[in-house]
Amino acid sequence: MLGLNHKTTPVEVRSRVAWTAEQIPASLSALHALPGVQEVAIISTCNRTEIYAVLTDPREGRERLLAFWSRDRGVSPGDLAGSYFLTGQEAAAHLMRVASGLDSMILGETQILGQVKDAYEVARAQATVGKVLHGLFLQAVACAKRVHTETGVSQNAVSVSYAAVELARKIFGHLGDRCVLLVGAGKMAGLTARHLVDVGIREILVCNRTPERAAELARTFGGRAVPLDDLPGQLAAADVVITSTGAPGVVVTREMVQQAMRARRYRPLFIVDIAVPRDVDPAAAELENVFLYNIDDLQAVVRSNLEERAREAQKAERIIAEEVARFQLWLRTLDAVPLIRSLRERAEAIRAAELRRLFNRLPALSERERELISATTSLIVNKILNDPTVRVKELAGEKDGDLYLRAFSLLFNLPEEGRDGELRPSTSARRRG
Amino acid sequence: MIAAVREALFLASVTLYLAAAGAHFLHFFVRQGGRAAAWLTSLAWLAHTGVVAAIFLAEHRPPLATVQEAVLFLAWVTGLNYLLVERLFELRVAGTFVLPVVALLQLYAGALPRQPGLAPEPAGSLWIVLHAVVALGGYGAFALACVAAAMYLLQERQLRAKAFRLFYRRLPSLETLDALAFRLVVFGFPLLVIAVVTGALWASRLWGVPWFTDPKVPWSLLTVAIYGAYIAARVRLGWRGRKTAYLAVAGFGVVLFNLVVANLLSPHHGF
Repeated sequence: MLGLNHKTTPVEVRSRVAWTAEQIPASLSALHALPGVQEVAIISTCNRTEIYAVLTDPREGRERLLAFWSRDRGVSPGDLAGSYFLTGQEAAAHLMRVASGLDSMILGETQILGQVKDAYEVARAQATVGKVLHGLFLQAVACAKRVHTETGVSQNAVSVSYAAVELARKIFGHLGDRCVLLVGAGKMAGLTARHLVDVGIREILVCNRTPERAAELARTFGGRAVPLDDLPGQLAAADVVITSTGAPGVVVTREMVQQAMRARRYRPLFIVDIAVPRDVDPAAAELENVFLYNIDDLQAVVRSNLEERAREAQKAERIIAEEVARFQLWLRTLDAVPLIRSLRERAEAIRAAELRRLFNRLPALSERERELISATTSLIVNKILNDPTVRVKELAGEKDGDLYLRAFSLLFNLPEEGRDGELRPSTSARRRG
Repeated sequence: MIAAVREALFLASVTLYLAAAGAHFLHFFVRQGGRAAAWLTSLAWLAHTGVVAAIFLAEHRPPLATVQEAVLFLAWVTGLNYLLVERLFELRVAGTFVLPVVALLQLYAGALPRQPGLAPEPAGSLWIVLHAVVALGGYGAFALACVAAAMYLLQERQLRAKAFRLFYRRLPSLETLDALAFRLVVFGFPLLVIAVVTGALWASRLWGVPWFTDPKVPWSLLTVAIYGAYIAARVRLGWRGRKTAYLAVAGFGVVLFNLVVANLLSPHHGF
């Protein structure tokens, strides 16, 4: 795996060296045509560009990939100075961390998983992925799903506007039958209202100093404009209030809220005051069932959530270690497959030859007797080969799997040939991600 | 034979409840082992059911003759209610708070002397069974309502203090907890009223003494008053949240006091 990301390379360089979605298919084919590149896939997002490849020789392959990269994108090799090159287990672990969002700028974000899936699909469409990358990407996607469900690394809001939605959920549970009141037209308030609409809030009321602006905002959110001078009445109707006016003083007084609470029979009222200076009298927070938060409080939620994600990321690392081990195991059993196949072919060839000789010497055998002899010999061969083939697959997945594979091929005098028919120097050096 | 089985099942249920409580704690703090916690709870409750059944078989009466059996039965009802709530509301976090209570009740039942209790009253024994089962059924609901209310108070404090820490994350929304406590009280209240009424009828028929001489009676009436006030305040006055949560907690406090202390003074109540 050869790549660079937001940690190693500044954004101007990243945008220069990245492939666009349209360029990737052609570049994949060109990469695949390079000597020593058996399989290849490219992940290219605004935060990272990474080439995943199965190489015949890692050291040589790295130089080839780098040269191709700078040539294909028309950038100087210096632009790729921030690139990292990982092989084997480390490369597999890296893809799993990327897919799980652990390598992302915002820890635990889930968009990257879709981008990893896309990268795989594009490469598959170009027929540049084979068994190994197929297995690796599949395992990485499965790993990311495990990380998302088994840890909280992708849970809890990490932006101020989502934090407001999260708090609303902690108070009201489901938001489906709730009403939100938007006072003022701040950008952050609009974003929060948008999120609330997205989670299916029932109704949205908008009020503003200028009625035209209120009507315009109401249209964008599919809500209703209400007059600003009836604020206490609107407070009684809404469950969530978001204020973000540019007013120099307090817009919502404690008395207003108190009056509204009486009118709404003390059903909980959640007020988010995003304005600076404050729109809502802080004393309103003392009222029963009034939950008042300002922008600093929301930022505190975000900070605490990010810390929580970092804690959960440690759990995610354990899952990744497990999945990498599983992938390694699968990879080794893959090594056993061609050996088993050639052993079976060898045995079948011997059986067929011996049967031919036997039938030549006993021409009087009936068709039925021939069938019986043939079936019995094939049974014997299968029974004898059963244990070695099962065991070699298991042993291949163990610690010194390579040794067992080597011993297996030496014992049975099997040709050491790669899956793609190329001669391979050794099982361990051949395949590096 | 049955006695031995009963002992074994009782020990199993105590152990399993403690394990389930531990598993729920683990689930609460590190978000792992949720399924194990649910399984342990179900198994514990099944063993517990076995104990109840064993008493039934051995004594040919429900396990309601002594304080020991009453506590055992209360724990059983609470466990049953919790399992239902867990399934219906998907509130596994509640287990972190309920299971210690159930486990403690069960331990307490184990520690209480197994005195033979009052001789079963010959007449009206059906009444007394109804009276006791209904009363304890109500108490089980109140126990859970108390837990939900306590969780509400915890979460409300987190939200007010703007302390966005573990409890804020793990506890469900205020609305969920408030609605759950209310439903449980609404479920338990009629049972409590029936228990009081059957108790009064039965007492006057059987003993011919005025029912209000039993010291358990004023406490029971206080319980009725508190939960009645809870429902009235919510429905009529629109109270909700912290104030009603305190009422639900206080109500169960009186229930426990009634069950443990008032008994000692009561001539007529085994429990």
